[in-house]
Amino acid sequence: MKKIIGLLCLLIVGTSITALHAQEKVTLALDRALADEVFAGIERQTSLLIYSHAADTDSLRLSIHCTEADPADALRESLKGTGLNVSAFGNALFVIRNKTLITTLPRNFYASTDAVDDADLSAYNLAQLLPTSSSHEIKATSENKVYEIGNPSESSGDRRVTVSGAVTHFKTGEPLPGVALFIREPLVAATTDAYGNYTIGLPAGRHELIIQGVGLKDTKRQLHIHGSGQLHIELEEQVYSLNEVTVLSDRIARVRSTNIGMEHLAMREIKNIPMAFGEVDVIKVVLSLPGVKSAGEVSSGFNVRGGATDQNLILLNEGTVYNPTHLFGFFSAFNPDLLRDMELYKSSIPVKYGGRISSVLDINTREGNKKKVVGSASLGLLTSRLSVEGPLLSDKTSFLLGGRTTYSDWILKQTPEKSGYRNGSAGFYDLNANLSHKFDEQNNLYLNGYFSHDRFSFNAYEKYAYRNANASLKWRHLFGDRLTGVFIAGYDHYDYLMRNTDHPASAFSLDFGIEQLFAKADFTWYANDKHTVDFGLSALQYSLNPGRYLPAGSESLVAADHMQRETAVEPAVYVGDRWDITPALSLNMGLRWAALGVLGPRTYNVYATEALPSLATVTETVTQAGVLKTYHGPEIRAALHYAFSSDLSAKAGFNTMRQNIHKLSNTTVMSPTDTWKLSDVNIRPQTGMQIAAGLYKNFTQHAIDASIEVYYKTMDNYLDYRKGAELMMNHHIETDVLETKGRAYGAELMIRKTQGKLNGWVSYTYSRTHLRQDHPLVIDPVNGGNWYPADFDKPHDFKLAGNYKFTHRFSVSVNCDYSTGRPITLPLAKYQMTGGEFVYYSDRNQYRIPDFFRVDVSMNIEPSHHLTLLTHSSFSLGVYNVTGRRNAYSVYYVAEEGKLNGYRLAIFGIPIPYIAYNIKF
Amino acid sequence: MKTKYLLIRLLCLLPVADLTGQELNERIYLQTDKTLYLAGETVWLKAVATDASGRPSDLSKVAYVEVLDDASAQVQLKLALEKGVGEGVFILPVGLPTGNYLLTAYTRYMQNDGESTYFRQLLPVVNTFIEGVRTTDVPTAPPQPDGMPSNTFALHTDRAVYPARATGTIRLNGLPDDLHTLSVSVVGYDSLSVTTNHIVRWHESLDADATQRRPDNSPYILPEYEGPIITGKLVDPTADESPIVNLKPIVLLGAIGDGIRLFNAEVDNDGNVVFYTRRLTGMREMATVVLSPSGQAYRVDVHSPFAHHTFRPLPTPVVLPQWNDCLLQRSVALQIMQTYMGDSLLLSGKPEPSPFRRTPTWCYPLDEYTRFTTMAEVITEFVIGLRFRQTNGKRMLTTLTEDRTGFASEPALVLVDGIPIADHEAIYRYNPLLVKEIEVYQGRFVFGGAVFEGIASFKTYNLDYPGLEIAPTTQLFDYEGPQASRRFYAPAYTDEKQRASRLPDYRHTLLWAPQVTINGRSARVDFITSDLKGDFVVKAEGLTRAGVPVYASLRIKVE
Repeated sequence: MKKIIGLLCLLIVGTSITALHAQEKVTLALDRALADEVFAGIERQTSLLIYSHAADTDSLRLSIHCTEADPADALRESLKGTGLNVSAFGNALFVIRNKTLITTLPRNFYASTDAVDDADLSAYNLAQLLPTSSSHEIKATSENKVYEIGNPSESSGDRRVTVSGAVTHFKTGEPLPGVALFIREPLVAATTDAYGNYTIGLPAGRHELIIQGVGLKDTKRQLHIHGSGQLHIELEEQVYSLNEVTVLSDRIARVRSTNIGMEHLAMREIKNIPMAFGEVDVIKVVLSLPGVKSAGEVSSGFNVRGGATDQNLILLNEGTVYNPTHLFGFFSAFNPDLLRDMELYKSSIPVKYGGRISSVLDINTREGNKKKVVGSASLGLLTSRLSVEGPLLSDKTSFLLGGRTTYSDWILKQTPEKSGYRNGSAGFYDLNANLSHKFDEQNNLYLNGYFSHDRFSFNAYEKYAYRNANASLKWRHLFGDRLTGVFIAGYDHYDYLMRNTDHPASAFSLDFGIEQLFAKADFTWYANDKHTVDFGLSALQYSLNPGRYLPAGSESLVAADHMQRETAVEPAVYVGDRWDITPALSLNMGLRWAALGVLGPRTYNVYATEALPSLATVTETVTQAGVLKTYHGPEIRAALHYAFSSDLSAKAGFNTMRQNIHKLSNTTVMSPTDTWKLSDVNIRPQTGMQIAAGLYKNFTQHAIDASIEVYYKTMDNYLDYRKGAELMMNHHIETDVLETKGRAYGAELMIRKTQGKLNGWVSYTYSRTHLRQDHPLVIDPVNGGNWYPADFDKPHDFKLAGNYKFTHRFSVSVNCDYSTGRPITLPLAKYQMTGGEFVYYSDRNQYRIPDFFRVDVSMNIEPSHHLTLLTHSSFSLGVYNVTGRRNAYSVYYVAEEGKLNGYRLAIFGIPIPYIAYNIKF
Repeated sequence: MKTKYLLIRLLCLLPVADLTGQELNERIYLQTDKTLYLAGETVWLKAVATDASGRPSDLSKVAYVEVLDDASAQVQLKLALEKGVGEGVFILPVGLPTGNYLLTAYTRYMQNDGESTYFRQLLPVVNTFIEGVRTTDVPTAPPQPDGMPSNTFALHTDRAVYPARATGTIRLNGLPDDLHTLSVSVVGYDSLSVTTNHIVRWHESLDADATQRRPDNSPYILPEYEGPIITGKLVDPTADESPIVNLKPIVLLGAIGDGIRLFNAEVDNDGNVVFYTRRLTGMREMATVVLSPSGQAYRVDVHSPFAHHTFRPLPTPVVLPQWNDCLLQRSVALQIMQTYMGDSLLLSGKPEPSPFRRTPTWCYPLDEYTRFTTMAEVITEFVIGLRFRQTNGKRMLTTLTEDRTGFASEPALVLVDGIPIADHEAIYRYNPLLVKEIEVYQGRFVFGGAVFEGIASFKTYNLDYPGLEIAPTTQLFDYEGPQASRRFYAPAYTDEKQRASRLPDYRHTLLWAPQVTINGRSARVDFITSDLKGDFVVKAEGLTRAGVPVYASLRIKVE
């Protein structure tokens, strides 16, 4: 009876509401109109109001086509597929996402109490409509938290209640079947089903629910149960600790790679080494490595394993840098702010490199920031640096610009009177510009430019200047996922200018220049998991201005002299394979075929073959164009690596190299007035061979690595000078030089620690370098044709570079360098003959200057960790040459009172304290 | 001279007496915006605490409100009282069956006087979504409005009839000088509405002698004079969960969240733990930490602060079929409001500031610093005021002394998102990449018996202490404090574009202003009409400082 009344009521209500808009019809035709226009169209034709949420309909476009249709139905049709529903109530239509309004009372609203059971309650799916404040879902994740279940105000008593829920994985959210849940007192247990659901009957009150599952961390949840309810539990998996071993790939690289005699240093490590005057300097870092020596203290030329200073290929972003120093070697020519890392190859030179017989130093700059434009300026006591980097147009392109300049004139004023630098002035700057663009995952393009300029003068009349310039374009392309190609083309330039106006009548200027054009294609093919093949080809064109001697000023009486331009091409092809024979044994085999074509037009002398070239033995003078002479030959690069275990390995290597350009220098150090000479018809390329072997061991989980390497190398056709050789403006240099043989051998021991508060390295090197003139045509060879020590032969060498970080900001560094003094030739006696006074010299390089020993200490304060500060200052305080040892830069003899007295010249003969302060914006 | 900071003022543990020396009794009045609600509707509340004679009193800081059926509480909430006046809101559960419920309100202190002194009012609720309205076979007459007293002051509106989505102004004049509090509401008047004057009826029903003498052996219940009092029991989880007696460890209570909210406990010989808290509003996760001298793991089980009730059957409500249209109208309206304005309806007001008002000596937003991967590096590299000090193989965090000559020998108080960390090795091992900010407070802090040299407060990004190793002596629990203040929501219709908005506005309660600012003897309140048309009642009621209720009402129309 009641039900009928209720139904009747509902019918009345229902009809009265539908009746309202049953009379109203709409006719509308709109295509892709804004939702608001459609709504307004319906509202205009009817008395209806249409409600919607702006977020749902603001940018929505609808099409509606109806004639004499029910407005609600027409709107529903139009909104099909948008997820928006239409509810009609009263004189309004409600547009709601994923919901409809309940616009009628329940059918059995007035049903008697008995007729209702709980199942009917859920039929209305109230949760869909309204947030239910009382039954929000609990996820039990914490062991230490009490989870309340049921209505706390219900009297608990001793009743049993049912707790159910799902057990899921904390990270993935996937259900966990077969998980046991139990309480101990009284013992009640349950297990989750295949869907991770559980139901457990527990007495009301406080409980510790213990949860265990295979592969899961044993855990528990604290429950305070008042009544039946739900509890979803999230569990973590059991993670077995590996004793916190973090294996960093670069720490094991030394043990694992096949390269022998290779050093990789990232900028981070470079910054730890104390530097004279607090300036970070990559060349100085190279000098602190075992097997690398320099002839003097202030010189940035270096000798690697007994090689000469011109036998090192110094590359900045693939471009050759002929003079890597600024200001007589005080600074290296590379702006440390822009560098990423560097690699020095002392023995196993990768097959893609060629052209020098001793080593390759590969320096790379960073890529610019691709996210935002950032700049940094740094003011130091000696140099100032400025760099700007950032994205260009899009996040695929970035640029990096950097510049550095000096105002170091004041330091020259502080030098001793006798050094000759005091009235000098000096300056330099260098500029870097890098552009990188990422077309897609397969194509990257890099544009690199570098320019450095140095000027200095000892006085107002004698001026020097030199420049390095490089530009290159590099395209990296991935051919599928196994083949990578890198294509580079570029231009390298080096020149110097010297001007002397001391006497107006003899005022002159002298300049020299090298230009190189090069193109390279390097490929790496990951053939399979055993073979990685490198192959490629390259071409290099040299063009040298060996010298121009010109009068300076109108009063000069100097006759102009031009040396002939030297040109040559150097093509090369190479292929190499890294073959991982077994996981422990790998072999690296490579062959590079390099040639040199000496190009004309050129006029040159042909000498008699039975005598040394000299002006007396010229048989004819030829002027010729085209290819004058070709040299070519194979270069073998082989290395073998065997790993006894993950932290112990042995390596062996064999290399041959060729070099077509020679430095002509009257000093043992690199000097701005050095000139370079290409191999030509009369001067053959230098060749070199090196055999090396090493043993590598890592200790204490790769924190310390130790290595010992031994090598033997030979050099052929190394240029030495005859007595009284004239190196400048010499049109026939072959008459003043001699081909010399060289041999070097040694052992290098190094222990390095790269991790932790204390890091650095200690190395000891025993090495010998000898030269021999055994050319059969030389009548009076040096030292009677026997082996004699080269100028840079320093048998014992001990180096220590250590840094101890008290904190990341505060550290102290020690740099220690000991080596045997370099050999010299001494004047032994003075004698008079035929009215003239002569000095009797010892055999070449039979005596040595005193041993070299120097310790530098520094204390460094790194910039604040507070990154948002406007300025960041770093501070370095140190003492260069703490012991004040007067290390001999050179030894000279003065005839005093009929005796020859030897003096040593020390440049830094006293402890030199310094403060370097850099402020960055 | 070391400064001493006491975070908590200790309460004088004596029964509260008024100036005359007579023991104070507390009563409470609770006002709702409507007399009958639908399940799912929002209930707006105002509470006024008075003494037994109806004069406003400022003793308790928390009012407890419950909706009871004949067996249990369906809704429980706490309101913060300020000068004896509090306000709040709750949504009736949508699954609440049709029936009469008992709306009750009391303070903790009133539990001394017994249940009969609680505020109680029948709250009829109709569930328009569930079948089977519990009704009698023979419909009885609806409850008749009781005699309306005449207005005690002048109440005017600027118009008698308003359009939809318009602003109206209510002016109240001739208010008594000593008005303590005044509320103004504008609520829809329909066939379900019952006009009664609750405040007058409540005032008449006040009976100073209703106070039940509490049994002599029952403990005296302290008023919540400063803020919520949280009670619990110290238990030993290993020994059969028995309470701990005759051991008085230091127990701390920390609220997890942004500001420092740390309270110490009084522990008696029976293991009863009492925390006197302040400014602890809203839903919070809390942590209790037992600093036990023996190193033994103890746990604090927290008790419910709500009173025990004697439940009795409630009369069955009457629902008449002629209410159908009206019920349906309100049912749809509440759905519309939830659907379209659900986000704005229960907007929280300004969060209450932490009672700990000191500014940190140092503050490190870690994102502004180099991110190190170990906490040891973070502390040594740039947190000037902190050092890990190792004694007996255990690390502890110490702060720089105020004269900056060295680091304190006693440990600092370490908080991670407000959780006190007893074992500093846990913070040493904590991943600093999860930490957003470190605050360091210099000075000496005393909590009960524990002295801490400085505070190191670590805050994670979401204040959810991810991966923190929580010691077994730490117990976490959810705690709902007094309701954070809520703003009554009404859309603004200041321009034509807002008035033309397609967002429906089906507010049935147009205005709920529980505490109107009074200007001399008059007041002015604005309200905004909704899309609903029909009759609305403007009602104002208040209480003077002398305990005299004032009242006025007026009917308006929206067309």
